[in-house]
Amino acid sequence: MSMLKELPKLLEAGIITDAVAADIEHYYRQQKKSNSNRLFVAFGILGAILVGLGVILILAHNWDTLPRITKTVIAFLPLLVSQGVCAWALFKKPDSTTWRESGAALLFFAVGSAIALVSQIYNIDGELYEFLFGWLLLCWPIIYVLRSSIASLLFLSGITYYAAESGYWNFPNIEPYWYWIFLALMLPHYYSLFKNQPKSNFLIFHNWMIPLSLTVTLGTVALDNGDLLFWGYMSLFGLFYLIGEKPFFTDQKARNNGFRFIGAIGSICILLFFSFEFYWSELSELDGGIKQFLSGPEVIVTGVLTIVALVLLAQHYNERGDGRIKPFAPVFVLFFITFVIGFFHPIAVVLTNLILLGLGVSTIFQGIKEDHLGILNFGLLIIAALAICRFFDEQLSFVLKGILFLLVGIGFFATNYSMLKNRVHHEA
Amino acid sequence: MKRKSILIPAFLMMILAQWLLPGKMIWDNEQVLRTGTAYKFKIQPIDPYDPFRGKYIVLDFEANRFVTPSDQNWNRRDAVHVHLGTDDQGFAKILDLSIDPPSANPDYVQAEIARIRTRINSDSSTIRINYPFHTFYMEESKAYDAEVYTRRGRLDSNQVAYALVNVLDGKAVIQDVFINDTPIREFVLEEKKNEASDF
Repeated sequence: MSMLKELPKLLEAGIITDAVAADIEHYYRQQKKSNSNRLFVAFGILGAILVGLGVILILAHNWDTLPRITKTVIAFLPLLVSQGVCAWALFKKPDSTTWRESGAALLFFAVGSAIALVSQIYNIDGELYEFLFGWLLLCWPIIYVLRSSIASLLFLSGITYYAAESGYWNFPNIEPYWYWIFLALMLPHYYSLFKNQPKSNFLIFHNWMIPLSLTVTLGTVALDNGDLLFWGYMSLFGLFYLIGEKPFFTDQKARNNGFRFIGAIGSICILLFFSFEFYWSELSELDGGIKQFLSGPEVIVTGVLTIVALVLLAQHYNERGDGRIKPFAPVFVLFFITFVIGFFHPIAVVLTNLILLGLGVSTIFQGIKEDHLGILNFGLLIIAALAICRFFDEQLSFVLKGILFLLVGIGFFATNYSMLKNRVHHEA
Repeated sequence: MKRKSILIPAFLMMILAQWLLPGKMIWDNEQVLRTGTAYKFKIQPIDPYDPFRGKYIVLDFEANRFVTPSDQNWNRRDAVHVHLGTDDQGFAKILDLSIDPPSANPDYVQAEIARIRTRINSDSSTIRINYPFHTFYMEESKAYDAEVYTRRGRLDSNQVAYALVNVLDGKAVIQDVFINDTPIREFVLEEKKNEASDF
C-alpha cells in the first residue's frame, strides 16, 4: 500500500512512466484481492469449525425431556445440513474454495456428532479409539470428494489422536496399525497440493503437521525393545531434515519448512538426552547386549527409516558436494555408530558430547559463511544447551562447568560482534 | 465432465456411508429395546465425564461375580457368554458362563472376564465380569447428583437402585436407571425439590 502512495512522487520525478505506474498499481491491487480471498477462506473455515464444535457441545448436553425418537432425528440434523452445504459447494460453487473448505469442516464435525449422539441416546459403550476409528473412516472420503485440505488436516489430527489413544493409553492391548494405513490414504492429497498449489498455506500447514504426527506416533510401534526406537527416532529426524533440505523446501521461508525445523530440533533433543552418562551405563550393562534388540517391529521400522534416510543422504551429498553438506545431515549415521559402541564401552557418552559440540561449531561456521545471524546463533544455542546440560551433570566439577560457561558466553559475544562489524564494513 | 461423472456417485456413496454407520447402530439397539427381555440389574454408580458424549454415570452391578470350579480354563479379558436368570426378588443373576452362546437359555449377554480370583486350597474360582453396558448418559446438571443420591442409597437398605436392561441374542441396551422404581432423572428432580423446601 505504501508503494501506491509513492507512485505520484515517482511520476512527478520522472523515475517511472504512466504505463509503468499503471502496471504497478494493477499488481498491488491484485495482491490485495488475493489476500482478502485467503482471509475470507480462513474465516469461513474457522466459523465452520466453531459452529461444528458448538453443535457437539450443545448436543452433548443431553436433552432428557425429549423422547428417544426425537433425539435421534435431532442427532441427524447437523449431518443432513452439512451434507446439503457440501452438495451446494460441489455442484453450485465448484470453484469456490471457501464453500468447499467450510462445508468439509462442517461435515467432518457433523459425522462425529451423529455417531457420538447416537451412542449417548442408546447408552452404547465403547472405547474412545473405537469411536475415533469409525469417525475417521467415514470422514476420509471428504478429503477427495470435496478436494478439501482442511478435512485433510483435521483427518491428520484425528489419526494422530487415534494412534496415541490406542498405542499409548491402551498399550499393550491395541496396536494402531490403522494409523499407517490412514496416513497412506491421505498422502495422495498432500502430493496433489505439492504439485498443484506449491505456494498454498495449506501445504505449509501439512509440512508441519505430517512430521509432527509421525513424531508423536512412531513410539506406538514399541513392543519389547522400545529403547531401539531412540535410533529409529534419530533416523526419522535425519529423514525429516534431509527432506527439508530439498530445493523445493529450501526455496521457501524458514518458518514454512516444518520438516527441517523438526528434524533439527528433534536430533538435538535426542543427542542432549544421550549426552548424560546414566543411559549409556545401563545400555552397556544389559545381559542380552545388542542381540536382544535384533527382533521385533522396532527393528523393522528403524531399519526402514535408516535405509530411506541413507538414500536421501546420498542424494544430498551428490547434489551439494562435500564442501556444502549441511552439518545436521549425517548426524543420524554418527548416532548409529555411537549407539552400537555404547553396548560395548561407555565412551559413547563422550562421543555424543563431541557430536553435539561439532554440530554446534559447524552450524556457527555455516552461519558465518552464509552471513546469516540466525544460523550462527542457532549454533551458539546448541553449544549453550550442551553447556547447560553439563551444568546439571553431577560428573563434572564446578571449575570445569564455570570455564565452559565462560567460553560459551565469550563465544556468543565475539561471533555476533565480529559478524555485525563485518557487515557494517561491507556496507561502508 | 469426466470429473463430474465420478464425483456424483462418489458423493452419494460418501453420504450413504455416513448415514449407514449411525443408522445401523440405531437399528441394532432398537431391535433389542423393542423385542428383548428386560432384566433388572442392581447397581452402584460412579460419575466421570466424556467430552464427546457428555456427562454419564458408570454403573457397577452386583450381579457381576460368578463362582466356578477352578479347573476351568478361564483367562482375563476372555470373551464370555453370561447366562441370565432372576433371583427371588426379581433382580438379574448369573446362572452360568460359557465360551459359546447357550442353546437352551435364550437370555444371555456377551461380556468380558475382568478378573479371576482363586483362594489357596480352594477348588473354586470367583470370576468377575465386565458387562458391555456400564455407562448411562445423563443431563450434565443431574449426573453428579445422581451419583450422590445413589451412593447415599447404598447406606439405606430401603432404597434400591437398578438398571433396566433389555437383552436379545447376546446384545444388551440400557432402557433406564431407577431408584425405588422411579426413573433416576425424576428421582434427582424430586430430591432437589425436597432439599430446596427443607432449606
